[in-house]
Amino acid sequence: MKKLSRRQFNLALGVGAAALATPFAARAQSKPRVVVIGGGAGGATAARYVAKNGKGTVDVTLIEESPTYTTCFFSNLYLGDVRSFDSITHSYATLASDYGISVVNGYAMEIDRGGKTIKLKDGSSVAYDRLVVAPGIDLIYDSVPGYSEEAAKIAPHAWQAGPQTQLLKEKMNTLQNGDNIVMVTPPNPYRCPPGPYERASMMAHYFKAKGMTDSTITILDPKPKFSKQGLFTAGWEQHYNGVIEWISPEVHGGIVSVDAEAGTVETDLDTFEGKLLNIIPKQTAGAIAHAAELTDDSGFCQIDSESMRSTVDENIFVIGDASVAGAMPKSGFSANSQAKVAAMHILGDLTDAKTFPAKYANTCWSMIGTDDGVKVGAQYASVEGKIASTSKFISQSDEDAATRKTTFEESLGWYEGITKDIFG
Amino acid sequence: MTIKNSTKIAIAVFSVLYCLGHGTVSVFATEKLTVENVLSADVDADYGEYLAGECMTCHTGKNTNASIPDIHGKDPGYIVSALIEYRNKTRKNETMRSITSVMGKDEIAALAAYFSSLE
Repeated sequence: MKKLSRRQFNLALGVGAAALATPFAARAQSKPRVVVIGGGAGGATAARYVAKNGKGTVDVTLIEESPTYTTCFFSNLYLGDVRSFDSITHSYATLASDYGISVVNGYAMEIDRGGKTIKLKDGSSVAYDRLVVAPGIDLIYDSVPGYSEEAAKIAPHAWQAGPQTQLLKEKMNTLQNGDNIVMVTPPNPYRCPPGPYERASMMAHYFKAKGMTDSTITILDPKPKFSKQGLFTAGWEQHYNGVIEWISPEVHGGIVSVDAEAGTVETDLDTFEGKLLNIIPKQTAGAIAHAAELTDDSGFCQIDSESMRSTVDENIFVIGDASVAGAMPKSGFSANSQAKVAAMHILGDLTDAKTFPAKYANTCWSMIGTDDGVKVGAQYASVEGKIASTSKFISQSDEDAATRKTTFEESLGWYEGITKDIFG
Repeated sequence: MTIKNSTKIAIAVFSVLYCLGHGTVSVFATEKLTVENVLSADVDADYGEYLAGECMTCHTGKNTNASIPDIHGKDPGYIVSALIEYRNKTRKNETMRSITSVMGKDEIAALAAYFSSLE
């Protein structure tokens, strides 16, 4: 007779929920093992909160390929010469030293869900009792015809922060007055909805600071509208009149192809030439989520809105950009928030820790110009099986300069806070 | 003058529909709070620790940037009154107004107890 896995067994008996309610300590001898794949805003927060709130009752392992993490949030400020690259790059040292987290520098290739084991690229394996999958996004390069991983070395996407961000900055720094940038922005859903438009703002800010009055930025958008559109459009007119041109799909008719070497983007309307191309393609959940069959047809992972638990595997939680989180945008703030709900449920599963109704939050700050910050945000809860907004706000178009300055300064405080909350 | 129950129900139904129509579901906004009744509420320390996770994203403690006030170790009365003022929209900051709009007595009491206990 074929042996049933615990999940199949539970499903067959219909006792999944009852088994989950039994504290792990009652079922096993050693400390329960929590493993996190991905050391970004979601994964590192989850590792830290499980370790911190678990108070030594669980073993926590964080698997991350890169020895340091550069945040995507604030990377546009680096492009605009407002922040240094070092100031947006963080180490995992404190998570190891102060929280006892085992930081494994490796790449997770496969998850054996039945055996609850992760196989790494170097051939080693790591066992888990509960697993957090937080791989962020992968880029679907060929969603933009002519674009590829190879072409990204000439026309950077810079939508995964790190070497790509530095490459885009190096290329920006070689531009002369009169040289133009052409951006292709991604279709929904994608990481950081206001990000491409903050990036255009920071590119224009750089041109202005360098006296490059004849250089322009053209945004070719596959979407007919975008996040904080009214605020960005008004800000562009105020700070950079005529420098940024946003072209909607109704006007350009669709992206036909990109030629990175020639520096051209062909659309139905016209061929646009840029000394620098910044191509941000369509996105999907990170590879490990696909390899472990946690994704659905959308390319992202369905989760239970009360816990961030995968709907296909009760031992796995998917957080951050890889998840389908209802009304929440894909952002570092969202991932950090979801991580805390997941951490609470993981400790609820494995120890006698209490669980409470899920509460989530997000705020996206964007810098449009010097001392000009805007924000959009919301609170969320699980409502009828979906993460729904329970309260929301957005900066107003008629705010005075003092309010905008306060919002910008608040974003600096937030960055300091959230990076400490993520990395310790 | 007393309001008839049917009128109360009508107001409640209208409020829910109004909120739904604006894409949000509000459950706490109508509860009247004072510093005294919040401070006298029973506190669940575990609930406070969980709820504080949301605050910690910005109020991580020992921040060098003054734009986010350090609330660790503050007097519970101060924390409660500040949160009630944001909730009443008599204190400025859209983020804090939004956060507190979905808080009730138990949430504010638990948070004040938790943050005042920190160093």
